Amino acid sequence: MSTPPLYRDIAQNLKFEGLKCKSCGYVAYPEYHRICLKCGAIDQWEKVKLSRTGTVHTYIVSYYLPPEFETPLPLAIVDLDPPGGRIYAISTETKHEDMKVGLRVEVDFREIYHKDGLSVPSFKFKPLRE
Amino acid sequence: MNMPGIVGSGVYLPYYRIKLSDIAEAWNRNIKIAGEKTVPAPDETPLTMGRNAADNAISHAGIPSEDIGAVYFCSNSSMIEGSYAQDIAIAIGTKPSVTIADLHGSPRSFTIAVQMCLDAINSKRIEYGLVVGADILVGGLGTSAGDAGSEYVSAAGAGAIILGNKEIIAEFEAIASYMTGIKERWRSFEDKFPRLGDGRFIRDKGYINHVIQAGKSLLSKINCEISEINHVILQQPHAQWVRRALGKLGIPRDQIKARLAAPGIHINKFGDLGAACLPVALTEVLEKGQPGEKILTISYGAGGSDAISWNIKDPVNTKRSQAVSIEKFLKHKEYVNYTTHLKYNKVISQFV
Repeated sequence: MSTPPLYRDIAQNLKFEGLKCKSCGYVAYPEYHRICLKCGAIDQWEKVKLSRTGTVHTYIVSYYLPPEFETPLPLAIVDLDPPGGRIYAISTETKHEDMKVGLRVEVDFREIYHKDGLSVPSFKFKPLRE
Repeated sequence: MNMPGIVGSGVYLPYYRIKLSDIAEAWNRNIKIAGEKTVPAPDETPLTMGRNAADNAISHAGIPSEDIGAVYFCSNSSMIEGSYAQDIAIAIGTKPSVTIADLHGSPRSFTIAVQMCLDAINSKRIEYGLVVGADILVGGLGTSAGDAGSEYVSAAGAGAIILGNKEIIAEFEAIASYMTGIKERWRSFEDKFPRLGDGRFIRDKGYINHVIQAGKSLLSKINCEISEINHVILQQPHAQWVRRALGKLGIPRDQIKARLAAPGIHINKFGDLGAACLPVALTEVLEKGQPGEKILTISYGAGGSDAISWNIKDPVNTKRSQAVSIEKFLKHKEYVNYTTHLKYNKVISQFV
């Protein structure tokens, strides 16, 4: 397990924060770009806490994955509720037959993988439970 | 002097459950057993559950997370080396000057961490402190339903409380401890499952003796009868042990059934949550409790108990709307069979 990428990704893996463009309101997650992808403003970012709920924009179902994953496993692009942002995430506790575009989901903190005895957690989505 | 207290609390419980009768059936045990317990999903760890509970506690407390000056993570099942407390501190967004500590080896670690936080608040070293209890307990295969630490009780969950001096929902009143050093349960590096001492001996000389001694010592300190305590919350390693301890604490026989069904006693719904037992129970009580009521919490583990009394205060009602209700975790659940329970607890895995 290599430490530098783990260290670099701490904020991305542990905090659910994005960068909001002060010029146009576009929310970037997880990558940091100097230039806003939407309006081209340079270095006009402020940190913003992302919403833990959202809506499935589109999805796929993966059937062939390493044994630590339970398949079939839905993966989706989720549009987060305001202040916005879009994430690409693995699902958890989600049946593939329940997946649909427009499904309301919530974001949960889960283990993504473990290697050399170290568990690396980050964010997954699951159907919204209220 | 203003006493510090709980300013917010939160829980996180797994979605999956197993009926205890399914465990008995898997081992061909001809017993009738009611109840169920939580089963962690394969991607849930004490850290992930603890962080989710901490998020819920912060939202309930309604405080900025930068004001949290100490994060204590309590667990029987976290990493032996490496810190989960620091991951939670980073995740919730504390300042880098935060004090962090991981307390291992006993469910009693939760009440020890509460004392550490209260001391730090009283000395004005910190404004708020976060105490997280999270555990994934796994019982030995084929163990008896009558034993604590067995498959029938070992469960998973997390709870968190935030302690501070402002907008308190439950004010700290007093604490009493009792310790004899009895070894009732242990697990070495090589052990996959906890090892337990002799059943009835560790129940009577261990759990019940310590809970009663600490509880009675606290009641005499605050000059109070057990009948004056509105909510009695005990460490819950086994339903029968809790029933017996409530009786020995002086609760009349005809009231025990009601006390066992009251908020804060969850052994038959969630199982033994280890270090998460008391914060989950406190959250259950604070969801229903009213100002002026008194709570008694008694931990137990590793040969010692801490009894703490709390007085519920006015903000409990106004802050209720900020909480993620425990009802959410009771309402949404899915039962798994015994094999899946083993797989999700990482007792068995696919051959590759």
